[in-house]
Amino acid sequence: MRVVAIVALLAVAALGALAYTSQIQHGEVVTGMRSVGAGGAVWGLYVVMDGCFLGGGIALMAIACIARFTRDRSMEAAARIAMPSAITCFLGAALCVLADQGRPLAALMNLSLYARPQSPMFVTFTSVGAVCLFGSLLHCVLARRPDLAEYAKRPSAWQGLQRVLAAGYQGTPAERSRRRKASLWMSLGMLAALSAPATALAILFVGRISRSVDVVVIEMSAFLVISFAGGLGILVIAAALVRRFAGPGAGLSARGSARLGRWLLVAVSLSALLLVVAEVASVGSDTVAVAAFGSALLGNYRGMFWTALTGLFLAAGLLWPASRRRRRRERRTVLASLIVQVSMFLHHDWLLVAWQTHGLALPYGPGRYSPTRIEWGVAAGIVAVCILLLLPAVRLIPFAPVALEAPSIPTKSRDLRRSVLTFAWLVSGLAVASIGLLGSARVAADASGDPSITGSPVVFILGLMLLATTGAVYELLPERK
Amino acid sequence: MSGRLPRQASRREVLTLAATAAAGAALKGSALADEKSVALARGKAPSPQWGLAIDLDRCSRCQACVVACATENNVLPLGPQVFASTRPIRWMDMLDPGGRGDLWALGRWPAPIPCMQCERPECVKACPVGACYRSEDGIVVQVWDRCIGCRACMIACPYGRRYYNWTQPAWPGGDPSSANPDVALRPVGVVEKCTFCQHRIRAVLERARLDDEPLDDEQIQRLPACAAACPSRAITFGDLADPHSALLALAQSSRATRLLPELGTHPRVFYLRGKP
Repeated sequence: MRVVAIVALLAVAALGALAYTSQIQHGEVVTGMRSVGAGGAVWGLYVVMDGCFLGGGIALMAIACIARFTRDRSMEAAARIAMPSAITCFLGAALCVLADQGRPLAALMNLSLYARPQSPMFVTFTSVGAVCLFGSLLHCVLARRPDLAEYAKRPSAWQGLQRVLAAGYQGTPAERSRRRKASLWMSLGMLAALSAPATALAILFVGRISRSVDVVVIEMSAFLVISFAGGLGILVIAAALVRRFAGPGAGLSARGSARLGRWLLVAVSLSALLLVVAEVASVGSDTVAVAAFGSALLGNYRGMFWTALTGLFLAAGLLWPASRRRRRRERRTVLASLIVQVSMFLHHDWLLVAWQTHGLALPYGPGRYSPTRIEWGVAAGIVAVCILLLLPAVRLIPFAPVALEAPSIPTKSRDLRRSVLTFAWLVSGLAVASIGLLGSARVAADASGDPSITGSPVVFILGLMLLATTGAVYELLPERK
Repeated sequence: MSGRLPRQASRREVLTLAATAAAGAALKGSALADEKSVALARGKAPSPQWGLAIDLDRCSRCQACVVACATENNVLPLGPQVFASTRPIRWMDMLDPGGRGDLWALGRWPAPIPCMQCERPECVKACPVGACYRSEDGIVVQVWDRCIGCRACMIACPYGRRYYNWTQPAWPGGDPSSANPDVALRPVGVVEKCTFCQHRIRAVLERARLDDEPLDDEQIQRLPACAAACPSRAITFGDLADPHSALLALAQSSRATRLLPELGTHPRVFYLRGKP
């Protein structure tokens, strides 16, 4: 069964690579995208997928951070499953953005050298690289070090790497206390840092100068809440798969499962409400908004809109009885989560595309967009690659917890050297990030020219990485003998 | 305690401020109402501030401007296949509002629309790599070599005046010898747009500099290819910073209007319609 699944995933990934090769060879004329105003949409399936991946990943990471921050024992397994799932989502988001670029290599090079903070893409580029991918990976490894230390004792192909990652871990009371503090601050830091890419993503999807601010704010809220619901849904599905393949010990507890179901119910209900409110607000807006609104309700996008809305109501209907009886109803929750994924995808698709084809401020004729087989192939390939990359990661850090770590007791002993070094690390990270940000923003330089420091965006990313590693420095700095 | 007391404004300063405010209020309603443009009209700008006026009452909708623009700027004929898939590139286009004439200020007839060369361009804000910037003379420039093909500028532009090279440009018969050598050929995967025929402007400016002669407004009124080709002289190009330019007079006339002024982008393209 597993071998068949892996072979199938490899085949899909190969098909995706083939489709992408065709796109590179012939240009994006092979996609369904067309110029705005000339009857099409310039952002299509890839950006929709990016929104789903990045929004879902941010939600997953936020859930993991909230679980770690609140020290909720019932959500420990959720945090364990959420972190690698989030990293996979971030990777998928990065690949989707790359697939959408007309010149992908130039994109990597020029974004590293010249990216400007004035553009929302700067935030998504730097955040996905530094905060989302690197920060999440670091947080994930640090959180699982006790388990890694245990796994490293068992012979396996990954033993060497597990030893490296768990190096120095002894589980002393002082170390446990440090872990507790580091985990707390890293969770808080991650939560704060994730707000930037989340907002930038919502702006990319919704923010247009020709739209009224109040409608944009409501739609941004709807976008973020649906993304959160999508992330929760991914977590529920991933937890069910973990339970199925790695055993009940690795999955969610009954209490954790019920809690996730309740969160999902709240998120789904709020999403449906905000979706309706956003549409009602559009009616009272300008004529352009009304045109886009009409296309959603009765026009080309009515299928997408009504399916997304019905899906949200259906998911809420499935989740409601389970939340009232406080019983574990995994199948219902998983089904609801799958429906939420479909709703999220349709919502993002409609939100992004309808405004390009029907919501233009000038009286261009209406357009249409439907992805081609090449686009579907590339998108499926990206999903397959992400799942394939997740498999070795799960081998390296299995979901099942093995370390029986005693609860940490806050120690009052003060380690001045550690505190000073951590503070110095934090300040240096802030300084490097500030230099990178100011350089990228062309402060004290020609605003239309190049950054005063070559590669300022990379400097900013390095600064963010230094900031992200502050918790690791505090936790991993060896104790004085 | 030797702190300086704030200096009180003199009566002259107060009166000057009031007069400026009154002048601003009087100009309200004309297309050049914003402060910056008023400053430009007084000749305070350090360099020319190029703009364009299109007289819709004179325009015969012959589309000579569209053809001239494409020829001048190496905008390739795409062939029926690409054209049918609605991926044309038209730096200067003729927008037909169809039945949606109520949606814009230009009435129900088609109107030529180039890039608006906005004073506050949304595309520049959106570009993540600085491939798009506003030059000193007010032209929004696209650096094709730096463009990464993300198309964020196309999403941001409320006028839809940017075009993407969806496929590798191919000259008819594979022979680019008929291309204008003054304008670079754009590769696949980059965004392109109208530049007000910047290469022509530069050439004229350079000639004037070498001849050490001041540039005459008459010389530049028909400088861009679209203006030069217009048989009814409906398109006027000029310097908004020159208080004596014909363009400034047109832009300040009561017939002048701009597209989507409510967005605050301050386009440098003025449309003239209706009787004065």
